[in-house]
Amino acid sequence: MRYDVIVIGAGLAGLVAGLRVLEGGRSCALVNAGQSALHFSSGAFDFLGHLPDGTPVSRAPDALEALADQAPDHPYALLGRQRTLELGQRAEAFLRDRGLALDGSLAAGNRLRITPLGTTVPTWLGASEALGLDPATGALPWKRLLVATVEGFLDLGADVLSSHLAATGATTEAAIRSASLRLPVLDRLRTNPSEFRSVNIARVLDHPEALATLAAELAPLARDVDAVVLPACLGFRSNEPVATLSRQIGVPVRVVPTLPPSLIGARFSRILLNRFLADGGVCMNGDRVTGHDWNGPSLARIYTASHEDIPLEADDFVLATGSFFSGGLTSGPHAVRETLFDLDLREAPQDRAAWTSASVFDPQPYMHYGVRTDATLRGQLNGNPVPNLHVAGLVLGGFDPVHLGCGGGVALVTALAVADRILGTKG
Amino acid sequence: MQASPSSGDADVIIIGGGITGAGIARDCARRGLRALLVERRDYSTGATGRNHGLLHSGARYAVTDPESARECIEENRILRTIARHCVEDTGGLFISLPEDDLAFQKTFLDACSKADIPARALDPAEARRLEPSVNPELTGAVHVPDGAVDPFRLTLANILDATAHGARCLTYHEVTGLLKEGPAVTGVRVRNTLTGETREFRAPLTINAAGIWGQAIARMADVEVRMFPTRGALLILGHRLNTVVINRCRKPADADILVPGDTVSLIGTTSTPVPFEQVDDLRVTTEEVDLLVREGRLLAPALADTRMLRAYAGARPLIADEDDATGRSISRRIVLLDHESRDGCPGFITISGGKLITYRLMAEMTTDLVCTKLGVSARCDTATVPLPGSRETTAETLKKLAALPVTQRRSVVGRYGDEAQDLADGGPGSRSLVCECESVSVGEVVRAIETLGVHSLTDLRRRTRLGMGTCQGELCACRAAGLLVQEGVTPPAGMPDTLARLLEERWKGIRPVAWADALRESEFTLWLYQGVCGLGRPSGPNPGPGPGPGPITAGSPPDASGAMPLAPAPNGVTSHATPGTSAHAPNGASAPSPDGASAPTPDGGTTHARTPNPEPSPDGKAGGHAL
Repeated sequence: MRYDVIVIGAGLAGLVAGLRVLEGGRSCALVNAGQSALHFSSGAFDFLGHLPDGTPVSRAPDALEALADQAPDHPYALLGRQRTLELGQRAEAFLRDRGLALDGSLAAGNRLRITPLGTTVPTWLGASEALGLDPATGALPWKRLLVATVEGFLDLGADVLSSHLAATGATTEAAIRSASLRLPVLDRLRTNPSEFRSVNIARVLDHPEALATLAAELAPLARDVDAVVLPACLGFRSNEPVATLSRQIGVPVRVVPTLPPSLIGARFSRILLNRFLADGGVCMNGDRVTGHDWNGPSLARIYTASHEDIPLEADDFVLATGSFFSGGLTSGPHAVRETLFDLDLREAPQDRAAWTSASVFDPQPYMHYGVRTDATLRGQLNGNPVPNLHVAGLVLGGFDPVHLGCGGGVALVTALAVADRILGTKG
Repeated sequence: MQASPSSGDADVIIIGGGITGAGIARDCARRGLRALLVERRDYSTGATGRNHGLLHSGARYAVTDPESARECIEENRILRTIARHCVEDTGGLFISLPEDDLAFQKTFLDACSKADIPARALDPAEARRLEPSVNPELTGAVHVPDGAVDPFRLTLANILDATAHGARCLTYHEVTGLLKEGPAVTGVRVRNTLTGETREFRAPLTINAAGIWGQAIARMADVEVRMFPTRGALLILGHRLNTVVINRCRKPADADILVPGDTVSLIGTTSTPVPFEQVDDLRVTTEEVDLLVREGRLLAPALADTRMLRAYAGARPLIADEDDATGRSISRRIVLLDHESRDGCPGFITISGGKLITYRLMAEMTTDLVCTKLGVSARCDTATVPLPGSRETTAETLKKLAALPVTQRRSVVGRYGDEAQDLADGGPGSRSLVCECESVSVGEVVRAIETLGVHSLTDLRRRTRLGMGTCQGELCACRAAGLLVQEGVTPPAGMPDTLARLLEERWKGIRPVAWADALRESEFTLWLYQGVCGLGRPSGPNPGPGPGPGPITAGSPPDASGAMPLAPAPNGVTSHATPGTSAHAPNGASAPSPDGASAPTPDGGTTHARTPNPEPSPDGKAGGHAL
């Protein structure tokens, strides 16, 4: 089987790279091993929350030069400030054009997303139905809030959320009321010990009759508040049920992400994948790469578990397999390697004690490990770039996406960069 | 039962909430004495919770220490009856490998026979049928009645019986000094480590059952008890690799016991002398982990490819008779010191040495001495009366819990024995799983909070196994922390710190084994808590410089020693996070507040109090926990 481009990995970076090369008129196959990190995410995309020295970033465009000084191996630094910003701004439009309802922009500066613990984290693009603080004032857009959770739902607690919302200074404790919704329509889920999670709840509540019972239970509680906050347990396919509920009870409804599974992240993933298929892409679901052949310095073909001895050939390949968590990087007791091609890594010493820090709250060196590239974002073998193997997303090395709060931005920017390169529009 | 033989706050004060102290509290209470137990952290936080959880048959000591071997087999038989819900009858193999001298097997069998330990030689094929994971290269094997014992469960069962018979047990009460009248010890001065409150308790007898920390307690009485701390490191494997305990048939050495326990297996141990300054902060090194894996795979080759969950270490409370380079040739025997006759210090007794499974005998010996001194004639009945949880058979209890889903039914009966009946009548919500790895339900968590004296997530873990499974508390910690808030143990504002302390504590155990899946899981944890949830380091006594909450590293500069500012401040006041008001509070809730304000905490700390408390950090410096 032959395609113009084969993308390995169907997380945020892989999906966006695939969508972009389809847009450029190339044929594309996506090898999708399973649920990506998006399914475990906050459902928001961070561009740059902090510099390596810990300085908080309010406007990423203003911080990229300092970032390049402090972290010269960061993909943003490799691409350069101007190119990074250009790609970031394109990503905003690109995602919205493909159906993601997102608020925020690089131009407007970082927003603050509310976490499942009620704390705030700087972010770039957030689901439009997610609760956030006004970036200008650091306050909630409403005074009187009802924080309602679902009785028996363990992945987001109303008391904790209310307490921390009050403590952010965004509003006063007195203005926040908590409620626990009984919702008998969920009883069948409740009795199953391990089914009472956000995605399963949404599958029930999205039905119009169930949504009506939710509205009926909420309406009397929401009479004297300015907005209602719910856990993100509503809107499996789109955020339409949230809007419907808001119309029904007559006040704005916002959601707060829960512990995984991430309803919003999973929805984003599904929307992008469906669009990829609608645009003519081929997705090999539940498949994984098992082998490959080189053709001189280039990658000739890959083999996968499902297709056994039928190779998949392409002019260009995109490696978007993610970090350790997603399986793009693998470690043994004394070595770290790139899983599929054993590409050159940045850092990654053999001494295991050097991979980690003593405190879990200190930056962990292993988070920097990943594939070494130059500004062209091509993988390298023994220092030589592989001309047609392009690397995007968190399998790249040289940065700590958690510490810096830049995982979503790196995935999007590098995905568009490698797609551009394949399409010959840049570099 | 007879009238109390003394005035004062108690007849006997027991220092230490490990298995020995718990056993003494039970024995004393059952003999009608007013017992008061004080423990500086939670139950089972010292050596009790940091060992193999091996129900020794005694075979390991048959050749080198016949007296210990006889004690072991006798107590082994007793525990199978009185603590059957804490014990798993796995059986054990002592295998000989090609590099071992098969002639030793004969010596070993003879010694077992002399010590009255039923031992039977198996040919290699039989041994492999019995335990398929065993090294197929084995040249011979001996089957003995080894088993597995859950030290947390066993300690708690003793505490429950002690309190049912009138004992008072205070966790998070640290002894800061002994009260003396002339040469005699007349009581203790304690500090509630949750509230900082200090108190004095008086009793005619004080028992030092503080394990390796007993040397320091003895010094408070101006008595010298020289202990020899040796560190034993162990690894927890991600699943049950073996169903039968596997030992090497040779003289005891490093990493030669593989014990199945609950859902996991444990390999250990090492024996490294450590200075006293380190016993509160035992960390397992990369080298120790590599040694445990190297030796462990000789017992069961699949161990090399099995996921590691965490590493931990305990300090054996051995009394040093002589300077010995390894600590292994020092007897593991029970040492009962009557300081009145030994040192002219009336009112003070030290009990140490011994083993997890000889705790009951140690308690009996100690309580006999206590009774002699107090002129009490009551006899010990702990060898025959079952502990709470072991009063009826598993089958009987299972019948009463027929309404619970089958996996939960097995889990709770396994964990609590007949005490699990309390869990029969919760509503549907109570069956919802908090910890999916270990099948711990909401009902179980709530019951533990209500009846088992839980002050923190780590306490909860020791009561329920919550967070002890594959994901090491990744998802359930947050859910359980929410329940601690709901039940009033933690104030809502304290939840991020509660979680942060747990993560920090877990990381100490995971870090030495952080490769392959353990590293993957660690990365996920990092994403989840620091990324998705925006959790920062716990607030401590060293808040960062103002103005505004610091970024991840700036709040508390990394300490070169790796020590974290976890412990409550010296005045016993734990500071609460005040989430940042800056528009860019990076870790919001748990960054130190601009003024570093510390809030005094409400009273609490007694065993079964449900007063809201900040998360204590008893294990902030501990390496991990067994099982």
